[in-house]
Amino acid sequence: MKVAVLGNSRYNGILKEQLSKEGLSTEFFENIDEIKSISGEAGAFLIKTQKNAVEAGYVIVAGDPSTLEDSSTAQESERQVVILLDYPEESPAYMTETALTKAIRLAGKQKKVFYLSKFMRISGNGLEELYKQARNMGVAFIRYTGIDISRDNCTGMFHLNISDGYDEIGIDTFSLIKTRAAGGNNAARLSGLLKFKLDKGTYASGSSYFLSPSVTSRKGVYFLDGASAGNLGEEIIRQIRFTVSEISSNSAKTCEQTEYAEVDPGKCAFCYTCYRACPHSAMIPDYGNSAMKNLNKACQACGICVSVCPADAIKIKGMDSVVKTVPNSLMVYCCENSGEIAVNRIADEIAGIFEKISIASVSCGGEISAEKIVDALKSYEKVLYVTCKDDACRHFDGNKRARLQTDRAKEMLRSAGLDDSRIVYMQVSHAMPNVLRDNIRDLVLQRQLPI
Amino acid sequence: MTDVKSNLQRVLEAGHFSVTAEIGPPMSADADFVRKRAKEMVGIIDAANVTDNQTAIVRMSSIAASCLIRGENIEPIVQMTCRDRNRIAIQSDLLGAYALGLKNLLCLSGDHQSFGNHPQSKNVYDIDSIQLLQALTRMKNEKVFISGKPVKVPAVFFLGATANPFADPEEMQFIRFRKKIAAGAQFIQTQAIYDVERFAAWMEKVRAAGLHEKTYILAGILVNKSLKSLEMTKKVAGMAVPESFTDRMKKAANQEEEGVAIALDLIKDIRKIEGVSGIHIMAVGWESIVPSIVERAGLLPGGRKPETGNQKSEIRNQKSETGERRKTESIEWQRLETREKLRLDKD
Amino acid sequence: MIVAEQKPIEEIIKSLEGFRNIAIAACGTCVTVCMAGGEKEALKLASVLELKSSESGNGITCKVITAQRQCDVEFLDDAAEGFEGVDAVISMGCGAGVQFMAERFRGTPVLPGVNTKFIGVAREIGVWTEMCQGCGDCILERTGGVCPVTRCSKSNFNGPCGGSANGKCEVSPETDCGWQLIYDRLKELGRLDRIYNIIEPKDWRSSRDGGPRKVVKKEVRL
Repeated sequence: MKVAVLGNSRYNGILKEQLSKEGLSTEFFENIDEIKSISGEAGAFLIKTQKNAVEAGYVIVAGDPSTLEDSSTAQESERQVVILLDYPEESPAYMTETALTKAIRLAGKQKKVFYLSKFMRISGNGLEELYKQARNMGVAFIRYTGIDISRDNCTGMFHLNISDGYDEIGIDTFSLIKTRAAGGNNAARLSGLLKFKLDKGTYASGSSYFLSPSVTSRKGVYFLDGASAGNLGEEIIRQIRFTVSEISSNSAKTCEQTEYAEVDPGKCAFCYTCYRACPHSAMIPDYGNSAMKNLNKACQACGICVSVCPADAIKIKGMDSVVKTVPNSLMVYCCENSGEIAVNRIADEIAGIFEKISIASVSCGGEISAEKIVDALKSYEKVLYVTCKDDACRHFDGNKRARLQTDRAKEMLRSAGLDDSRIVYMQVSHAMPNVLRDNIRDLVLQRQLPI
Repeated sequence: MTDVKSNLQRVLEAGHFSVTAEIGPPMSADADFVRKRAKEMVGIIDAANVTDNQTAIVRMSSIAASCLIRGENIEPIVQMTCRDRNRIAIQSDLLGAYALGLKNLLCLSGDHQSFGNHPQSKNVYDIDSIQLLQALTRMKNEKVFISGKPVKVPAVFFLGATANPFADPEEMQFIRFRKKIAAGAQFIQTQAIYDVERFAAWMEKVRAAGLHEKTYILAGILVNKSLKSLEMTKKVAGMAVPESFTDRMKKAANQEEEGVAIALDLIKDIRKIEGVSGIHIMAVGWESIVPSIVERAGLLPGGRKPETGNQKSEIRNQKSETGERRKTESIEWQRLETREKLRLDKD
Repeated sequence: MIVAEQKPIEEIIKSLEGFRNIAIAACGTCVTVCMAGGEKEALKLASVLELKSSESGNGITCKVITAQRQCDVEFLDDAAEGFEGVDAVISMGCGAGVQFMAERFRGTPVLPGVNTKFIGVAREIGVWTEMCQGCGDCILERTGGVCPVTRCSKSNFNGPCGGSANGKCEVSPETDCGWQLIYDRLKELGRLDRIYNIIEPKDWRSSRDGGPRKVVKKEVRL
């Protein structure tokens, strides 16, 4: 299988070597400007340039490293490292885990590590343990509200001016590891080619790619660009190893999905809404049919397209449909990554609360539309919609979409003069069954109040 | 009768540094209100702008109020916006205005109705202010309506327009300014000037393009009564107010007096700029201060103290002496003659 | 495309007074794409109306029928069977759809389910903006492909008004100044000379001001 490497990185050599060890051939596209389009999906990408068209199973963006990396003077001998998690909210668990692991590893090499974040995530995935370990190894945790980074172009040193709302402190360092890195001059171009969203400036959006590990929101596309600034060599090698092993294991097995979105071309209005909403770039236009088409291998069956489709033209193939039951009961839609796990833990406890409880698991909170929620109210007294916590959605925005859809459903009920408390939306982590149980109990209590 | 020039035009053409001010008609049918405002300014200014439903708030019509102030011996500048009338209504109203003896006209697009007290209304904007200027220039020169159909007796206004030297981006705004002059704007009243340096730079551009020879430029002077009013002004889009003025106002023991002092300083500086033909004083809600400002700026005709009480009768007396002139024209002639005489006296 | 927005359900319920057997007609074209009146929105509305019915006992029953385009009679013919015997139809089509359905189904009241807004584009998912007023005499050639009639709040033809600041319209800080867009675009294209000339007053006869309009394509008519 061929792997397309986009961009002119100084690690292209290592990359090629590592890939060939796994029996994968490499095609380099050093000048990103020459690429006209990238279509297709994991296992079957088609890269068109001004000269030719190349098929590749996987794509690695090893673009010219970001500005931070580019002119870095950081050396292995550097004593001090700053890790900056610049998420405006709590960072996702995987990112916290990655950052903590890195901090521990660096601290283990006798480096002074500053760990800066706006909001600390401290629970789940064994994070407590990692924190403890990091603290014990002398990592300094700083919670900041504002940060100002400048760089001395001569020495390459970063000046960080950090404010926590009360005080300001300054840190000077040669090594700065940021969670989100600039895609450099290529960011806009790459985001267009690979359909990644762009944040302000040249940052590719956090909802488009994870930097470390190098997995992106699009199956089969990996980013090596700019995961870290400071200790370049080591980090990039780690990423290359990770990426190559991912590709190698994925190409060994077929990545055909059993569950995926299916578009009814007869109903499809070809409006591009699913294309715009899909977090995995799994929808493509099929001009022959004047309809959208799902890339089965790229699709992760989150169902976000189902909920946003205005023509009701998309179904998730292979997914269980919800069975309607008797009235005076509770319908629980829960995300399989959080709500379902929590519900199962308390299944016995809640069984007696409502006369009847139906639990439907969805692969992502983003799947359920306002229409489905309202429809369920015809058969159920209440609908409870349980999704992952903010930032914990593996499809990035599914939980935010779920909240908006429930808000819309409630708004429609209110507008019709109906009781909108019949719809309840909540976020839990899989480790929060008790919160869920209490919430369901509250629903019963509300119900007993005279209206 | 209609070929007699307006007082304002004659003052400007005679090369005098002229002064205009603003009279806002009331939100009622109160004629005395308008007369009172006018009386305060008799003998002080060369002409007064009478606003057309300013900020899209319903007020007495500009043409009607113009007639009222004219009765008090203030020469009006009728304002006409494109917001409320289509080309039929605009042309019809202006024929009427001219027939009533009103000779100065300022053409504006008009504040959008969403800012006024009838935000529900339909906005007309059948033509824009440049098209209006052009239409009236054509009526003057070619004796035609917008439709191209002939007008036997056209309305021959002394045509004005507005300009904002500080609006951004400069080039686009300057194109529009040039277009206004090309469309026939004979005088320009500018947005309030605070940043004299920037205004001077703009005037340099104006002179470089020779525009000051094609039109008379009256610099806008806004009089602030308080720090609060100055700060409000500062917030208005397209206003450039240097920090030094806010500081002055903050430090001042008497803010009203400081507001006047600032206006006087601005006038002094602006007078020095080549190509500026006069000033347009906007003392919104504080019209009574205008006489004092004009006097202290040394811009009264002849530098004489205003005699608001007697002025009217004096002019009337003179008018009877020159009885062969027709009534509607005589006032303008008289005021100008008086003014020129007084200026000569001063010299 | 024509952009519409669903009416408040409250208003729709009010308009249904006295009717029981309702058909909701979705339209599969513009209003589907702008997520106002496609099948999904129609189903949603039907669910809410039925919920309301079971709660209030107003006896309303709903069914949803989708016509590919309510503005072409053949599509209405295809769907006609579904509208038989209903007390009223809620058309989720644009104003043209509602009226055309009313013409086609003479005996049945056809009620509007959406408010038709404008001819516009999808700026991003879930956001549409107005681009064209259908004035019938396009001058985009002179204004760098940005329409002053639609995108200037005052429809100024010869430049921005005094309310243009930092590229935004005074009417709303969210709205770009149409003339700033024209200027920027022409500058980019090196065609700024296009706006030096005064654009003459527009002949609005080609717009709705000239009365309801008609377009005839002669060569396809016998």
